[in-house]
Amino acid sequence: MGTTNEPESRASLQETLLRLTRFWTAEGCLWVPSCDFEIETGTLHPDSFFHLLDSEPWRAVLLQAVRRPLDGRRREHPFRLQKHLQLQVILRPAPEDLQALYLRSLEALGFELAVHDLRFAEWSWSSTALDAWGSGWHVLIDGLGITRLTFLQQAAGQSLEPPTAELSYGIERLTMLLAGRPSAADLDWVDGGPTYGDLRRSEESELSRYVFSVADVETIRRQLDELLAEADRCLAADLVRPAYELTVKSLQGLDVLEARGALTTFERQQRLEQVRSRVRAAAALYLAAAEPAPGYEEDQVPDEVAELPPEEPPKEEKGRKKAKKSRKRRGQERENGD
Amino acid sequence: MATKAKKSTSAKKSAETQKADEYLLEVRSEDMPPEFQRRTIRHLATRIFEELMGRGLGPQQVSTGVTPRRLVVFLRALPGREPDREERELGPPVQEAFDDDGEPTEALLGFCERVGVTAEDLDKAKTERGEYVAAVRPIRGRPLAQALTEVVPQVLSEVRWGAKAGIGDRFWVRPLRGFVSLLDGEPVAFDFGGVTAGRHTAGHPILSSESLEIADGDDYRRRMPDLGIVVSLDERRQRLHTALQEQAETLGGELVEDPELLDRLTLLCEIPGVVSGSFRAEYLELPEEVLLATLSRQESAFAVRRRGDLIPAFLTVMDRPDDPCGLVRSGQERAAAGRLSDARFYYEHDRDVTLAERCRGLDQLAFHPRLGSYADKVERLRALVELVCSELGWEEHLESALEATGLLKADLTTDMVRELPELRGTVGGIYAREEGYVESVWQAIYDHYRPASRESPIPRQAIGRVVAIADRLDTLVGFLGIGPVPSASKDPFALRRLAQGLLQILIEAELELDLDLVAARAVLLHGEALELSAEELLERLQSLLGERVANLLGQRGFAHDEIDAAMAVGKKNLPQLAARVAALSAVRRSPELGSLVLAARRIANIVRESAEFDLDQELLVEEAEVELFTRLGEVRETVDAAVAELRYEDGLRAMIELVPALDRFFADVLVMDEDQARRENRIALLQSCRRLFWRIARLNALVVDKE
Repeated sequence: MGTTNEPESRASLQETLLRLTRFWTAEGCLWVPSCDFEIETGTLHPDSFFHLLDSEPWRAVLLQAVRRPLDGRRREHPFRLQKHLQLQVILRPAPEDLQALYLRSLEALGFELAVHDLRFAEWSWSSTALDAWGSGWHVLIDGLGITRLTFLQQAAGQSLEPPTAELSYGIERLTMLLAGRPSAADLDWVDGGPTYGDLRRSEESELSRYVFSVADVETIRRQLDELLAEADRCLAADLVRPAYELTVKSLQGLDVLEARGALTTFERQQRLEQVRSRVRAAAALYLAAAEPAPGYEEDQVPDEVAELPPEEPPKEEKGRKKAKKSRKRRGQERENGD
Repeated sequence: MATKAKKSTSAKKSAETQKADEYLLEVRSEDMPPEFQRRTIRHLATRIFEELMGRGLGPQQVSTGVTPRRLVVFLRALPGREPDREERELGPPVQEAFDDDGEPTEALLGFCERVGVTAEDLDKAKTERGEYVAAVRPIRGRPLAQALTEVVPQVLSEVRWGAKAGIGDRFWVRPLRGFVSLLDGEPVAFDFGGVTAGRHTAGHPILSSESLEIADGDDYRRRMPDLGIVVSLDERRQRLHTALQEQAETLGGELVEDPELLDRLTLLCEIPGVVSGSFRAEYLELPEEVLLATLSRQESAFAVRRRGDLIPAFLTVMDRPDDPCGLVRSGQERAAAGRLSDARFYYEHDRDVTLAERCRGLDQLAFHPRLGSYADKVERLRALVELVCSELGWEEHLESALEATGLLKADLTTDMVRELPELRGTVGGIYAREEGYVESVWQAIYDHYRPASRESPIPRQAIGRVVAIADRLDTLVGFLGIGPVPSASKDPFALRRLAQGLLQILIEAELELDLDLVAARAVLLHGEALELSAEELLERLQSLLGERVANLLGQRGFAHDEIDAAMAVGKKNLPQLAARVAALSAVRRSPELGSLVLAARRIANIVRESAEFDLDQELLVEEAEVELFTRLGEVRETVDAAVAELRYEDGLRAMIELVPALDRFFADVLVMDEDQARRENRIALLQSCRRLFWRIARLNALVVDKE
């Protein structure tokens, strides 16, 4: 009921994935392999991250199994999972009609929107680790959150103007709605095939037990330190991606420590700060190495480079203010022109 | 064009009458954040009104509508054009304007031609530099439509949103979709943010997304309800409330009222629909507070009670009129099941660790980076609680109060509070109850964030009040000591509310506590973390508390002059202050009060600059001053007795009885006698009267009706 003709037989996890991927590749997105180490959100994917920093247009779609140790529920929750599937779409620059485009993607999945209650709730996202933020909507259908639409506006402390759109679909939840199932475990992975529970039940349960009860706090702390030390060696050798990857890998351990109840607010902040400074350093290296393309904007010169002469920072500050003012003036001219 | 006929009549009408019936503005955007909606509709209505008033174009009526996707302003009964006015322009000096024969010179004729007047119409104007010829030029007011094309985009461009809330450099918080801008059915065109205003809008983005052409305000008010869209916020809230109550009745129960949730949900829909759902009865075993908070905060749903007990059902709002396939209901039930499952998960796993064990983790939890951890705070609270107990003479409560203090902040480390922060205190109280702590202890923990607002209750028992007072004072002193003075626009730690809550506890529980003393100890306990000197800090605290107590009493309906007059003679003892203000308010309607105030004012004027003198009964000679002296003695006795028993109203009524003697004194006696001794003695007599009045309030500062 409520979806296309025979939704009961057709809605499966695999079908959702394939349809969405086809929809977005038809919209000009490159299909990109998923990140090959554990990350908590698709935004951390090195391809996504470095393309955010570029001024070049970029459209990509990728499937990412994301891991959120803190969302583990020892299988007691119908749809909160510590490992779940996220389909991430990056559109740089953000299209003007993002909402309409998104609604079309739901229709392509087979949703008959006219019989559901669809909401675009306020959503703002920020990441200390990536020194990034964005705003947009958290989309709910019949009370279930299924997608986040974010206009990303800063990454690694760099302003992203124009903003980049990021869409992340929760594949399990989308399919639950399409198939009318009460929990993720009940989903068909493929029509007539094994269920999601068949394939993932023991994995979810074991991962949950590991992060909540078994993970050794001292080992993980040591690993975090080692990862960051290794990242520093890479930074010293001008190796951008290895430095970034090693740094971002440490975030996973941070969540495990928190799930074990071993992370204080202080330590968390301190460690996030360590991650952030390395992410920024990697981004600065990346931008410095990139040949300034035509239309390369001054804004994107990394701070470390721009601030070399001591008089620079105040000057730059002024420049920025001026730029803002002139934008404002342009706005006013437009109004007066009417 | 269906609107053509209408167009010509309305154009004709506005030319004849110079009046406009209605201007309609609809700003349509993709879904806007609720806080933005609330703030921006106020901004648009107020600023457009102000700008039009400033041009002599003020409407007689302004009303608004707001939905997640539209902000609507209706302006009714407006002048059709700005008032005509005159502009004076200076020409040549008079002596250069006319030649010796009194004929206009070249210079004057040139001026007349430029301005467009004849020499007969000219006037003269005196300036600092001499007399000049002046021309008065009538300026025709501009039509309303022209003013609107200027005002509306300007007001739109003033709209702001918070940092990190918008989208890059874009002109609106979310993508703009269109404007309806119609003056009596005529488009008032403007461009803003790349969108041109006109007469087109659209309905609900999924159910009625087709473009709609709007003829005028009446048409808009007809078409929107046809699509199920209720633009008026109040009407939508009212309809939702009625529907929620009806559905609760259908479920055989009654709605658990939650005005805050209703406000929130009203801003999240434009078609007010209500849907019900149920959850598994086993979740009713959760503590009621947890169940209610989970439903309200996380699931945005209302609970339903039957004969006092919750039933396993909920009601929530949808942005559509109905649920034709039952999908909204089953979806909401699934979502609720997820939330409740989480709540139960936290409830069960939190209690694996006792509150006492949790306290050991508090040294790792920052209260504020500069004010130490929560373990540090609890240490300070122990000392303050001890002081407050001894000041109030509550030694018998000390032991339990210290036990509660030790556990006070333990729930901050629970998953339940991490997930539902507004349940802090409550969760600790529930867990303490389940761990078997005595009632006074668990209730103290449960209540210690109370009162949350001025309507909400203060902690139920003595111990809860003591720990709440200590906790609030510690926070106030700490934050005032490291940060700026809070103001209405900038109060990031909600110190004003915190201060007000502290005052509410003292007034409502009638606790006579020397706050300065406790605050001084709190300053010592914070030690070097604070930037301000103890003196400066206590001064800031006193001024904050003074401001809040005035505000609090004002909210209780007392007049400002009553509050000021009572506070002027003492504000430390809060229960007494509240009683004195209440007494002033009670006698306010007595006709004699006015004459007492006038007499008090007369006294104040006479003795204002004077030094204090001693009264010598021997020097009283005139009959009227002897009488005043005698009456004063009698009245003072009555007042003393009344004040001692906090019967301030009786005290004031006794003072009123002094009025005839005072009036006679002023009629018969000259205070400023030539004889210095007599003069000073009479001043001393009046000073005694003033001292008496000031036992209760600075009566001379009250406003009298006649004024």
